[in-house]
Amino acid sequence: MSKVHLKFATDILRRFGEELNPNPDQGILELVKNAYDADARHCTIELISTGAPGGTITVSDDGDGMEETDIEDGWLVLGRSPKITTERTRLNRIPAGNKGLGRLAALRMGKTTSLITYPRNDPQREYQLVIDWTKFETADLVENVTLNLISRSRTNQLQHGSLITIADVAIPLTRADVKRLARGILLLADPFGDDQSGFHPVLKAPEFEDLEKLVQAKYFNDAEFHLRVNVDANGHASAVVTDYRGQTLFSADQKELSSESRYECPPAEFDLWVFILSNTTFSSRPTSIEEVRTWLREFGGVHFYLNGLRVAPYGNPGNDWLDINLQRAQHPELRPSTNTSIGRFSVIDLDNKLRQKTDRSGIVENEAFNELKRVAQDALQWMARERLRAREITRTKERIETPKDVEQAKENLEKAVNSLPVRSRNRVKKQLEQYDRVRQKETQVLRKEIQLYRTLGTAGITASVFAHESQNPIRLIIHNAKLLIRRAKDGLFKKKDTTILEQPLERVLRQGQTLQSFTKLTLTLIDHDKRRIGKVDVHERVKEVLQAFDSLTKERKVEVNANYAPGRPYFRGSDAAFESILTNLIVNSLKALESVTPGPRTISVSTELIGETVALRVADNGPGIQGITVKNIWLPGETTYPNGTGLGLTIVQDSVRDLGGSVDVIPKGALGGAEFMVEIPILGA
Amino acid sequence: MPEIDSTLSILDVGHGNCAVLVDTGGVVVIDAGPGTALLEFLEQEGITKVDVVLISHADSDHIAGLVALISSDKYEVDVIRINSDALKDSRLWDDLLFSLNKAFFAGAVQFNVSLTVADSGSFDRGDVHIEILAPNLYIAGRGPGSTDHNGRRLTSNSVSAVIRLIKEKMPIALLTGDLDEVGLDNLIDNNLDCRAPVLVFPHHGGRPGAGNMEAFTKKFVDLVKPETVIFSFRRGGQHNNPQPGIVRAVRESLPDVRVACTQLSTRCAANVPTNQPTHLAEKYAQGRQTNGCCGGTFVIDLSQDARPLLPVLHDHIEFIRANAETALCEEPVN
Amino acid sequence: MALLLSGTNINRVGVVDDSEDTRDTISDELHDAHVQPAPFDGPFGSLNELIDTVTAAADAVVCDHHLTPRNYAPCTGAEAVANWYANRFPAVLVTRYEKAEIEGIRKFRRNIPSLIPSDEANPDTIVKGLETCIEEFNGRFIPPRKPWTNMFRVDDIEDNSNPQKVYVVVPGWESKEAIRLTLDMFPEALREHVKPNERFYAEINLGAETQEDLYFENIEYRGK
Repeated sequence: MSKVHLKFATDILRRFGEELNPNPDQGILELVKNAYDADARHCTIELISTGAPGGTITVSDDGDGMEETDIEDGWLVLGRSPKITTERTRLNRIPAGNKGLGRLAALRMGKTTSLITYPRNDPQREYQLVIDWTKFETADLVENVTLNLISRSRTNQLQHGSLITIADVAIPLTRADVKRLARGILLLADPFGDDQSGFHPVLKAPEFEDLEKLVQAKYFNDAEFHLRVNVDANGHASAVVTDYRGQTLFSADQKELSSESRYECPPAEFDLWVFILSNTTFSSRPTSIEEVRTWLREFGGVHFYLNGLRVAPYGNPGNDWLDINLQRAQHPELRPSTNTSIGRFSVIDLDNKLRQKTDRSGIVENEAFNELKRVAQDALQWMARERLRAREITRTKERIETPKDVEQAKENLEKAVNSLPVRSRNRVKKQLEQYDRVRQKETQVLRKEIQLYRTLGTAGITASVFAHESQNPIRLIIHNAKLLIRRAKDGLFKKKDTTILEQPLERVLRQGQTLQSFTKLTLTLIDHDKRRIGKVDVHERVKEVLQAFDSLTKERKVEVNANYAPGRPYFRGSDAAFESILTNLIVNSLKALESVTPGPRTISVSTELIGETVALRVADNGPGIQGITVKNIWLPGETTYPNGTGLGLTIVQDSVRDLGGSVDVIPKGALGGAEFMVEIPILGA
Repeated sequence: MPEIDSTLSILDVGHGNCAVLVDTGGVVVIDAGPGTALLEFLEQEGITKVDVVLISHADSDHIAGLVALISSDKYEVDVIRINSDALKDSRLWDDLLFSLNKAFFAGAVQFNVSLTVADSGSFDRGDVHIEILAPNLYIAGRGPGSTDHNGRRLTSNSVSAVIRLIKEKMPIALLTGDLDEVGLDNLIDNNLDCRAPVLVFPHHGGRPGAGNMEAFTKKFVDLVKPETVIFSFRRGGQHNNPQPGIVRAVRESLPDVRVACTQLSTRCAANVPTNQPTHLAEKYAQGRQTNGCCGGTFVIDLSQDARPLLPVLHDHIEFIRANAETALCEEPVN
Repeated sequence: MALLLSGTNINRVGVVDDSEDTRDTISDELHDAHVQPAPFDGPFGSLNELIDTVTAAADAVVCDHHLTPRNYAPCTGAEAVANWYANRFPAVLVTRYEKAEIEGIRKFRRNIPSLIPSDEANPDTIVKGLETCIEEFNGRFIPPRKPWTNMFRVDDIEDNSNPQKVYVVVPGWESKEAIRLTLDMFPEALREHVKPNERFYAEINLGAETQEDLYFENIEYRGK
């Protein structure tokens, strides 16, 4: 019997290296991950003249470096499974670890590779290793090539880290390669989250800078919805959808998300930001739709982060591992696509339930991984259902309002179509459906524009009310200023009585403050954020409008009584639409109350929950609806006042309709004057 | 008949013309001016009957005073002559006819649209002979909008009536309405004696038309050879009369002339005087309300042979020197 | 402190305005004009209450036009001043009116000799205003205020306005400007004749500088 060993031909290096890892960027990323595991804060990858053969790639970091044993038993050992990952590093990181095959491929990109490392734990020494790959070409077996590990004493004892230099790179790196590398490096350590692992990899190449800018430009605030799903240690999931301000629109727990009682997967967090890239949505925003589109094109899709580091290819351009695009087919307007969303699936896997594939093409699709996918898909399904529900609430009321003649015309059209011969009938029907869809889209666009003009209309009306009111303070200020000038000219200031100066100035001050409060409401109405669709907290909005009118109602000696229903009713819509309604009703009441002299003058504003709606009532003790029929008050241009625009109630009615609600009036209500009741369907309270 | 002091008053009516002749046998008004100046004047003078009203040219701006006069229940008018029917199809014309119809003296009034050289002498109401020197029958017949025999366009200004007042064969004053160059040339062609010691310059001392205003002015004053040239205008306004070029041309042609304006032009004084003036004739003058008078209403006393013109020159000049720092009539003439 | 205006003694001048700060400002102006200001805090329940209270407590009054906004009195200042004038109580109207409200003032304008824009109210204008008023009581009118019976013509009516607007032209004043009146300024019996091209007579202050100052008093119809 003789003692023999398994031997590896040098060819195996090629097999395990570049053949297994064809993309140079993946290999280099492995080197970067090594730096991460070594608790590096910074890692710089430099590409020098890599556009042509013979270039150099360097990877340097400020990690803990390696001692002799680390090199001999770690860095130089290929193919070993990663250690148990429960042990965190010095900086509390969960090491990515890897078999080193990607590393091998990267190192073999050049003819020679050198490693210089400065171990943190041994400040006196530094180590250098040079691998000349050509030697492996001529040798037969891997173990026949001897490498010299040089140990030296160090001059700089504070420095620590490693520098890998890959020289004389055989194959040039294309621009696409560099871009992929840049993207990978940027996404590696979760640039989206706020908890920084403290790891900043940087690529020195011109292609990097503009991409980096792109990542840092965060457009999350332009998302229409933000879905966040959390799976706890027990496998129980909960989900919440918020608007761009972080206000909750929908929420769900395990039983609403899945028929199963739990998910068999490690704890995870899934965030998805969904965008609506239409010109109307972006028309009032400072961000341009193109900026967001470009950003999503580069970084969109759902990225997967395992223990803090990104795992490719999830979220790469064209990668749709959650089948998001597939789900869109049914209701494209209610579902995100990989072009209109960006997300992050983050899993802390301490029990190694998930394993990365050897070829670095992702994670092994075992049950744990599939369960994670299911979490995301169930949540997306739920979100689509909620959006549909919300939309239908609005749509139902709208459908009821469709004018009779349109209904009739539709019926006639259907009859005519049904009388056609069967072959042409189906074709025609199909075309009509398409036409209908296109028309509906058009209507939607128009509706959005109307919303804008309606807001401007309300802002205009409010502005004119305040402009009217402002005349008095302005005149008083001018008057008192003239008075003071005259008194100065007449030498009255020389007298001892300071009230001659003080009293007029105090009046000036008071009137100036009144003017200030007037301008506030008008300006907030025009604020573009007010027009964005989001969560509308009814009571908050009512309070805000009443607050803005406070100085005016006090001036007019009008008492405003507000009563709120229990709870905090809310719906999805724009603040502007709701505020338009209340603002116009109050302006109306104030006008009516002018004829109540001497007082008392009262306006009452109240909310009540009735079924699935909130009822907002505005009443006053004015003369009620007079000189015009109740039916006609809603018509544009109808007014009983010499200065009236006749637009206020038209705006109210249209805004209410937009929110899927209804409005009615009692000519002589509870307080004796007109009483308006607005009902709006809510999502919750 | 009780002794009445005959006077000719050139009223300060603001922007417009108005002259009131109070003669031994009656009252003649030449142009009614805008606003209520004429009405106030008549009230102040205690006049309730106007025997003749002559309107030198029918311009919508200049008819208002006539309508006001007729419509008011206070004044009786016997004869009204307007020199053209240029306004005939306008609502204003209807207003005029309506007011005539409804006036309390409606039965007695004689109203005619014609005021030409042929009417000379028809309006005399006492010692003063009223001559109509223009328009001649040809251009009056042709009317505004048409052309004269030289082919020049006639405007309502061109056919303005030019009226000369004479007493005891000595001319008193020449009233020229808004006569323009075309009208002036036709007037010259009439070959009538136009001389008068007092000339009320046409068109409120504003530009007579598109042509050279200095040449026009020289031609006019050569024709009239006045001792006093009166400009009747309103202080300020868009035209800002009188035109300095006209005043200069007058003073160059007539070195000893008295230039007299009803109101104080902004060209002569930036601000109105702070004190009440003491030199003005004791008659109603529009400018008094805003203290904007210069000469105010001019009054020629016809009962004296010398026919003195008030305000007295000396007092008037004193006022000008004290209050008009850039007076056009005081500028050095080359 | 007192003023002697056209033979009338003025010691106390009432200040009527629905804004306290404005009352105080006007009071300061009156103080500088050497009269005793008497601001009224209100509120007043009726026009008569306002008229009587002020007449009893002062010798003259400066009154604002807008009295309803701050719940001060149920009438307009124009109406109040016209009432005081009718009772030979000197009154000046102060206002910050907008064009749309001219008609509300015009129908009382015959009895409002002095209308002062609120930021122009100072000792000079107020005293002059009171003086003009007292002179009118004595039959002396300044030319822009003197009434002349004269004719006016209806140019146009606006059908669906409330109160109904009537545009008229006063050829004896100025033939080109249309002046806005309201139908309620016409005596009820004459309203049927209010149609374009119909003519009426009224006492009008033809000497007014601007159309805002025109009044139309004792409107008559003399047929077509």
